[in-house]
Amino acid sequence: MATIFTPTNQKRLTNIAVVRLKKGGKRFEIACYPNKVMPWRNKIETDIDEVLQTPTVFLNVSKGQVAKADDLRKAFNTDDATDICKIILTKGELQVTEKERQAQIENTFRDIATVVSEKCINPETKKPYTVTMIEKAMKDCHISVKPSRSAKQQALDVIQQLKATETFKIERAQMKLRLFIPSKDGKRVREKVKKTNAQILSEEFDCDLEMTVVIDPGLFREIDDIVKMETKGKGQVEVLSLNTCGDDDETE
Amino acid sequence: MRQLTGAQLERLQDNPERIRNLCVLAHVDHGKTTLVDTLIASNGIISSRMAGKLRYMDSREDEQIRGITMKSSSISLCFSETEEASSDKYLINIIDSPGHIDFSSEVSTAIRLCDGAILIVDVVEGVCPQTTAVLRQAYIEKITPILVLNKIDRLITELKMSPMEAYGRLKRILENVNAIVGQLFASNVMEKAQLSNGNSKDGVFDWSSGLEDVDDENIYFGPEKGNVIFASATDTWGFSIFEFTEVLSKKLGMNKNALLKTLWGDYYFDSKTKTIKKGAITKGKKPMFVQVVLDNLWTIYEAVLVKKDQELVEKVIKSLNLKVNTREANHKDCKIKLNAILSAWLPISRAVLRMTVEKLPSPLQLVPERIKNFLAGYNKSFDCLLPETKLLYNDLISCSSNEKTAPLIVFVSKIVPIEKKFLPENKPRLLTTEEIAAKREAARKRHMEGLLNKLESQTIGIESQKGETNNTNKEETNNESQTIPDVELDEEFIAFARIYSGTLRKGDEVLVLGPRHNPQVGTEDFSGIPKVKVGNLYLLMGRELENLSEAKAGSVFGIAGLSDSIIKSATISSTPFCPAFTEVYAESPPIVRVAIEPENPYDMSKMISGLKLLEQSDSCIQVIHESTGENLLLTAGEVHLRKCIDDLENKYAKIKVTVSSPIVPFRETIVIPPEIDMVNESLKDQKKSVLKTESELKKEDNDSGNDEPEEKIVISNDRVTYSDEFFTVTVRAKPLELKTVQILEEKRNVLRLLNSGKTSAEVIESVKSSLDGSLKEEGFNCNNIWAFGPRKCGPNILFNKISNYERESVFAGKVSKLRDYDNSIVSGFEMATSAGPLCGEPMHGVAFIVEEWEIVEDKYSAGRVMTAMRNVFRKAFEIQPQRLMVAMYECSILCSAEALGKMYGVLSKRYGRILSDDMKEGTDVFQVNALLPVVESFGFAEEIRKKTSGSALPQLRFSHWEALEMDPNWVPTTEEEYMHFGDKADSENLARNYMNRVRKRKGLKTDEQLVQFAEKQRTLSKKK
Repeated sequence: MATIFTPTNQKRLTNIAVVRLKKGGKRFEIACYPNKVMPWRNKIETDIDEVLQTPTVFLNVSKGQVAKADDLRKAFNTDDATDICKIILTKGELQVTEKERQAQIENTFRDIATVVSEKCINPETKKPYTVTMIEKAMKDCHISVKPSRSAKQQALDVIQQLKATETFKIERAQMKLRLFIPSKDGKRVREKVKKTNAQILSEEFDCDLEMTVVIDPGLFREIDDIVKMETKGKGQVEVLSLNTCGDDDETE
Repeated sequence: MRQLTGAQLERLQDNPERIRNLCVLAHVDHGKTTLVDTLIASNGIISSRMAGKLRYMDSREDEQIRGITMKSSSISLCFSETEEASSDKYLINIIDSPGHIDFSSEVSTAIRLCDGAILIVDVVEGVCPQTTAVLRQAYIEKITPILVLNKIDRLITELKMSPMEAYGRLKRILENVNAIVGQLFASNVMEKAQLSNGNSKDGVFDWSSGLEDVDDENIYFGPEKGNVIFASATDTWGFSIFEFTEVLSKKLGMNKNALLKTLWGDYYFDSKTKTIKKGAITKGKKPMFVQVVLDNLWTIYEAVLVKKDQELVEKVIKSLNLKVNTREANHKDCKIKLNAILSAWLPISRAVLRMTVEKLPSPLQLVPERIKNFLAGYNKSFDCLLPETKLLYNDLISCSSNEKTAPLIVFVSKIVPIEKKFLPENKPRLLTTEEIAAKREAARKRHMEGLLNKLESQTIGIESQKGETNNTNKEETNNESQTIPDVELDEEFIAFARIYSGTLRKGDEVLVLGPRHNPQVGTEDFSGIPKVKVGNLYLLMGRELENLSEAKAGSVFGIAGLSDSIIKSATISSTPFCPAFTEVYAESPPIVRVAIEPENPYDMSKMISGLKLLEQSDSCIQVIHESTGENLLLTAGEVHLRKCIDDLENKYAKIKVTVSSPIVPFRETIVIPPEIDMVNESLKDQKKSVLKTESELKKEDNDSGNDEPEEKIVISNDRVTYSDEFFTVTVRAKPLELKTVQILEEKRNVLRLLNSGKTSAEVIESVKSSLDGSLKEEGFNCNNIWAFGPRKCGPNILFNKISNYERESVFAGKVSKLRDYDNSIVSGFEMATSAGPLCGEPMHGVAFIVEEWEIVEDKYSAGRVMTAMRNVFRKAFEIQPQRLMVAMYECSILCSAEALGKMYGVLSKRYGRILSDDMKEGTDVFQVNALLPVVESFGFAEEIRKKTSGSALPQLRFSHWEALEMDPNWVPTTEEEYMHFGDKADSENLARNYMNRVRKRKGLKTDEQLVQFAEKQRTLSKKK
């Protein structure tokens, strides 16, 4: 039975990413393009037309139920569909696509590696590892990235894990500090500083005490507190360098 | 069957007059190794049937696979003119060199050790770029070359030329080669003339180039001069005119000398009158050379290869009176037959070796100019040397191996790794252990005697002598401790050396003079020179070694046990007055730069020690350990790089490594706001739109949520103010003038040590005053400088313009009392300058001015102030027009005229900028100077070489930082700009591309889209 082809007057949407938002007791949905919502939220994509398939708000996208204007007004206090779409885009929940998740994890992974490489050195050569080396080591350690935590936080954990594997030699780059302490507090502070794991490079005791110490960056707060408390704010802590890796300078 | 044992060869070196040291030079694939093969076969080391196929000198596996030579290696051969007489035997040390341009450093080291060279030219391909290059090297080193025109068989079999055509071709190639020689000669003469003109004081300028006055007769090649050989190394035949004149003079009854002069050139033989007449070409006659030589060759080839006429072949054999092995003469494979006949008729080894013996100088005939070069270097005058050093000149000339009178002078040109299994002591041998012990005892005795002699003869001051004896003691103990065998490496490092004077024995104690050693500098104190006990001596026999008990003046040999004290090249001597022989002239310095990493991150230390060995084994490698943790390897070319990586993976480190393009550093800076936009419209009229975009930017940043709540940061004009209830600070950023930045970079080292008390007050004062001058022009005061950064010595300055805070400048030395949180501000400044907002690269040439600062004490931790300050500084930087800075290479290129256009193409494709291009006087070579961004330089050398087929030689050197004109954050804003660049201007913006690349590498956020066009992912289906 031959049928005559008639053009449909329905516009079908394909490849949709649905963003949902519950508001005012109703569930609103909008139809977006996949892989575009996250860039919009990260301010990389600025063109709204590249994100929305259509600037209408639905109750159910797959069924094609458009939300009623009354409901919208009740929930959002506005008539403008585009504005409402923008609100839903930023606040709504969505299924992050595989590609987006991949890109995000990759970025965070590299970011962590960069932070680790900046903070650590190879104790044998006294020079930092390159980012690619850290990445390799991280993969060997089966380190998984958690998208919810910041790169810096995770980097600190990664350093611990890398240290635990004994084959990969890595250490936190040491921090170099100079402490100025008035003479009367000198002795006390010195004792206390010695009790921490700080490595004292030089000390001078003319009228005031001046010390240069190398410490693990984690100890900084402790040292700072000691100096502040013991001298009642008269002593000073000066950071000479954040990471001492070898004495040589950058070469071009 | 071997003709001679190592011992016999060793005896041959007694007479320096009978030693020839020569190297084989040519373009790649012109047949160097094949020729050497045939020469080796003449000594019975390899079968003559295998000669030309075995490539005996290519001992490396990859050399055999690729079919090119990658390293120079030496072999000692023996040659005598007559079969029987043992008296007139010559020792010939032949060094085979690689022809590929990547290994031209190997050629340099080979040339250095030799007195003569065999230059090979393929008659089919003619003169090639490398031919020119090696000729130039040979000319600079002043060694005597002979010419071999190789692969004549291909003219017959492949190109099917007639003898006449072949003659024309040979003549043309000879002319080409001579033209190069003439050019070299002319430019040299002109250079000298210029020098002398420059020195003339009487004001009369001599316009003549001096070319007319200099005799250039002896430098050219010509068969009649007896320095040209015609050959086919694969078919193992070769001859000079000399061979034919002998036969002909008998046959025709003519004078030998007359024949020598007329056999090559425009002469013909008139068979009626039996005389030789001039003008063969004009009269349409065959020249003598074609008539007598080439025609005969062609007949043989035709008889054997084309007609396959056994009778004719036998007739030829008979007429030439040859002794050919009947089995080979009747062989079915005509190639073998041909080989047998021709090598019996015109054996190539005889022709080549005879010519080397006759034409190339022996070690006794060193060119005086060359010796002066050795002693004084290319740039210094010989006259200004010490008298003791001048004395050595005579020793070098006389080349005496008498130990009493002649000092020991040995030059080591490179260190080669040899697999331990090839060392003679590791081979099964006949000597018993007792014998070895006895020998060792004898050697020790000899060495003691030598030591005593030396001590007696030493006339240097007592003190230095003491120092030396102390040193030797130490050395000895060292040596003992070093005798623990190093099992890990199955390679032994052998020094490739040439002895110029004296005698060297195993166990001798010698001074090792590094390449920097200069007797003029340390005349008084020589105690710092390392003294080393010489290990085994070897005769170099290609891939094998033979033990040598002593090396006498003039010879080329190998030394073991020096690898610890020599890095690449060195001079070994018994007298400290010997200067270090000048560094080997390098035709192409290493410029291909890659970063390498172990595949397994745990193998880091293995790789580093492997790199060290690799650097030692190859004179043309440089290894740089960057402070970023990268290990950079610099090689001469892509093929060379491949070889190095192979060596590293299989020999030295034994781990897998990965090769990547090196990380290129950038800098971030700000500039004075530009007046015009990208389409040259004035910006004043557009103020509004620009301001709008700026405020938009701000908004975006606020949303992106930095560590500090940004609402507290207020921007007014170009000032950034941060304020909350306890803490207020106002900062302004300003670009520094180029002049100031230059001063800061120059004085970097002084600034670094500023507060450590290691620099004197005067030095600091001078820096301060020079800075003061340039800063005043910009409206700053030197006394307000708070800090430099990053790392306390960078090209950025922090100024203190706080009205109620008097602070002494950085130059004041130790500052006793500072306000609280002073250090936090400096730390914040450090953090901001070490990683800018564009892509986390350090800032360059930025001044930050703190104008207001109020803080309530004890409410904040130092760390919190630090991060707040960092954000303020960053913000102040961000509101100025930001620019990315790229490192620039200064690139000097030597390029022949015909490749000039292609070279410009490569340069402009990589955003290079030409500074100058001049023709070099007396040559057709152009000297081009250009600037090239470092980012674009990866693969540059390789590309330019490929595009110009090797006739452009680039050299790269870091020059300076340069700000890119384009704003990396720029997007079109005005109508005109939209018109000109389109909506998405990303393809145009080079700076943005660079920035994004860095951000991506570091895992920072980029504005690159995951999916560029959302529509395009839609799959529309009609069925529904």
